[in-house]
Amino acid sequence: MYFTRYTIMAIMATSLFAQIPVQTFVLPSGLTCKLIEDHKKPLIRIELVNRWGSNELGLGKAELGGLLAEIISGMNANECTNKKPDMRYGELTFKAEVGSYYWNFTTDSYCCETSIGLLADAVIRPKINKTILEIQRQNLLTKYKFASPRSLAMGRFLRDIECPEEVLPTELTLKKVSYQNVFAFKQLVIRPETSTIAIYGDLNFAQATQLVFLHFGTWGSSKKLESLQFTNDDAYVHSSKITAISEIESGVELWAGAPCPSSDIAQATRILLPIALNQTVKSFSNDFQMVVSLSENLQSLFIKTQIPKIDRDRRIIEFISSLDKLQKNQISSEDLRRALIQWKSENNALALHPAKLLHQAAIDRIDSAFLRSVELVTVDDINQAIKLWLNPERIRMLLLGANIPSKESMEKLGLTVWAN
Amino acid sequence: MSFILAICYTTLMRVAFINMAISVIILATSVAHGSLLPQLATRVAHDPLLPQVVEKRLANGIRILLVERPGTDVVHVHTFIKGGRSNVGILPPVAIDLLANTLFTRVLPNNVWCNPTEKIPNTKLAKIIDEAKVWDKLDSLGASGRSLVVTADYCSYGVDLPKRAIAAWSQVEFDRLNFLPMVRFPIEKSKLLFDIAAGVYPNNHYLYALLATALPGGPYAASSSNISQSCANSIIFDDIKNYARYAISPENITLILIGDINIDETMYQLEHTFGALLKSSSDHAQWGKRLSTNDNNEIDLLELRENRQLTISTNSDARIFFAWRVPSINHLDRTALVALTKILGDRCNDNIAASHNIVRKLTVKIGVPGQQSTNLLVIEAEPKDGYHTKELEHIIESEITKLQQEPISSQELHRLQAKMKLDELVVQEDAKILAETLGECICQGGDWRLAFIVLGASGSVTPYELQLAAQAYLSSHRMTTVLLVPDPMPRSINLTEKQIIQIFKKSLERKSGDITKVQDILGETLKQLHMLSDEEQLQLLKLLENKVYL
Repeated sequence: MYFTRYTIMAIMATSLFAQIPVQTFVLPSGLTCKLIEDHKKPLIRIELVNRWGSNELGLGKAELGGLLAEIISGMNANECTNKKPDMRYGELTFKAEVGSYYWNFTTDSYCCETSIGLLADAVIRPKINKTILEIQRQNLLTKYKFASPRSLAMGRFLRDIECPEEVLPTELTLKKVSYQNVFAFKQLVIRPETSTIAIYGDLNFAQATQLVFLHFGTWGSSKKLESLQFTNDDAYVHSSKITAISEIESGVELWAGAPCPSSDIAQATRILLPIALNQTVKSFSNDFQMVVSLSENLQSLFIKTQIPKIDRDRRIIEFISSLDKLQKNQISSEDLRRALIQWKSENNALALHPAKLLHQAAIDRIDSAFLRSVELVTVDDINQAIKLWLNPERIRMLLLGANIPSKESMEKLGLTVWAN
Repeated sequence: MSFILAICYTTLMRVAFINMAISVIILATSVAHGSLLPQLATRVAHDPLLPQVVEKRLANGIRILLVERPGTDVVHVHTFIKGGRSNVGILPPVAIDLLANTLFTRVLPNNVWCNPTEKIPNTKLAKIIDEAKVWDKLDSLGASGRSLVVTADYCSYGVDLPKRAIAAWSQVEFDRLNFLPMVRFPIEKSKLLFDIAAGVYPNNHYLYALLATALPGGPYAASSSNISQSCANSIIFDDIKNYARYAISPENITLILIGDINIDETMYQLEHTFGALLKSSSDHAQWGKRLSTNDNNEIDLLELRENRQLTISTNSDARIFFAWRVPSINHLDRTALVALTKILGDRCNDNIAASHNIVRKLTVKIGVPGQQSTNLLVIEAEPKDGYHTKELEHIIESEITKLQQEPISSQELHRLQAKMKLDELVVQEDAKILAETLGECICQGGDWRLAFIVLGASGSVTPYELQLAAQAYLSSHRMTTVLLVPDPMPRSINLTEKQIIQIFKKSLERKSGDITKVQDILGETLKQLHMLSDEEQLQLLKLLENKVYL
């Protein structure tokens, strides 16, 4: 009896998306500004997103982007300590993903003008010079020298699947890259046309336009460079299919992941795919729990599992073969319906979580066109995406743990091992 | 005269009658709402910057905190159960983790049934877990963003729900707290054992070592012990069932609802569901023993005059922890200590990281692992590669000496208070974070206002008070230092290093039969080898080969 009541409630609860009023304006330079007003408390959150997309730039540029991100985050720390800004202005944070940079600021509304000024300084006028590049280069090379096998392997794996969590440049890139490369890259990617500034809080439309224009109005569109002096020979070459690292730890962790260029699968399908997959993977194995998740930039799919010591080799092989099953699996319409309800519920709850809401607004995931496109995803779309994304050619794997199978035994099974 | 007296008497009687009538009306109203005590909403209206919390209590003792956010169409609900890892009595601390996971993760579908006393073989475990995690009643209601937190002082469970689902949620949640469905117990126990075996849980050994060293004999030290597989294995179904009956008692429960709610309607729904939850009838003696000794421990631990140092070998990077014993959240010096924590964090990050450039990450926290009794103020620092932890130790000590000897400037104090005010405002933005903050303060100190010391009235501290607090609490006799020293063995070894180590090993084994000693020397050798360049290593290898094999 309850179930019927709950089902009806669920349909009622998720039939409509919450209406979140977002006001948008675009500066002549191409910078998009989005505002969500909330005057309950004297607080303002600002997020500036710069999306340059590694795919459009070709091989190796993601690593150059990673180096630039390291330089910017290092500079923000240095700048704060040199200038000693008043702490009540809040804290500026910077985060980088493959293909995107994010600057965040939370402040009280009385200090809003100064805060937006500080943000503009950090984004438009970072003083990148040769000394800073050299310091950062040496820091990263030291990091590589002292890195544990686990972190090196994890870095390699994440780079292979183009995961946003790890955008560090390789040692090769670090040694070869010049100041001109970095400077040209910065000019190419950090531009107003590719940026969006989203504001949430105690600010009205007139104040927001005035402040954004005051501080970002002079940010002119830099001349788009045709090419960089960075050849594809220096680019990171994707490693082979499986990386195995033996460590003094108990248990075995097995990671599988696959990258997917943005043009292949629509964003709406990408969002629903892991939720739907998690509904269906339960029947694959008695021996391990598979958790499918998606990276924040929607470009990498992860499957993580933990494997007990007993009968370990057989389980590893079974996990690998289950990826094949996953690829051939068909998602049912019930799985998709549940996935859609889950996603809608999360989306509706954004009204209570301003930081998440702001981020989703900044990356265009709460506008009505996008929301409608998610609702229109079909079972066929999802099943086609699975075939394309979880293609054996794309999947990379990483084994971490104690006493993993030897390189020879893995090779006997037809698996190429990158390192041991 | 008698006429005047008669009039006075009649007037007094009338007043008394009217008063009595009003009392009867109030009592009748509260009884109609399921409460035996006349209650009036206590809304904090004095400061618009404070969260507008409506605080109520049901007749059975359940505390309710309500915050309205009209127009959002969603509600965040959070259930807090007071008494965490530090209050499990004779059971191991993981008992509360086990109980929380058993009760608050997804309810099992009807077709997945486990015998509570059955031990699930590992081969079946993953399949059952997968089946159990997929879909339950709350999913059907449109729930999202579930969170489950277990700490030393409480466990809490939060979820976002559509506004319309609140009535159905209160019934589902009441059923859960009333009937205590334990069908997940065998699954969760097997999962816990698996996690301990796989090294996933516990993942912060250093914290346990720090607590055991800094707070010996206290409830928090006990909360960090006994997380072995055999210990977790010793927890049986009856233990958890009895513990659940004690822990999930109305007086330990706080419900927090933040979102698009109507206070009166919501209270009516909660009273008609949670109001029926009966008080625990089980014997409190088992758990009460530890509760009653907490106060004594607090005094003893605060007065403990011992400076302790601990060095732990680790597979990860080098780290250093400085910890000082500080009083519970209700203590009068708490405001000064919170301010001191902030100022220490800012100064360390500004001055130490910039001028010496030897720290990769530095954080200062108070309330480790909880705040209900004597706890720790901890500075955690991660030195950059190549820098020794001793240098960092000296720098932090000099910063603390500066705080103890010089009062902070009025400008710095002003900035500190502005920053603390901003932090307290930011906490109120997100419904989940606000609920967690309110509930934490209720469980630890009994009052949610403890989270807003600057926005509330008690926030003003003077430079002199800060200096006194630094002298009293950040003294060396209250300090415990834990050094995490990386073990060089798990690091990557190149071919040359491997050959050098083999030569050393052969030579040492010939000279000494003590394997432990040999391992120690080899560890030190490897540390030194990491410092050499590739060319230097090759030269050393050649020299050693000539010497050994000649």
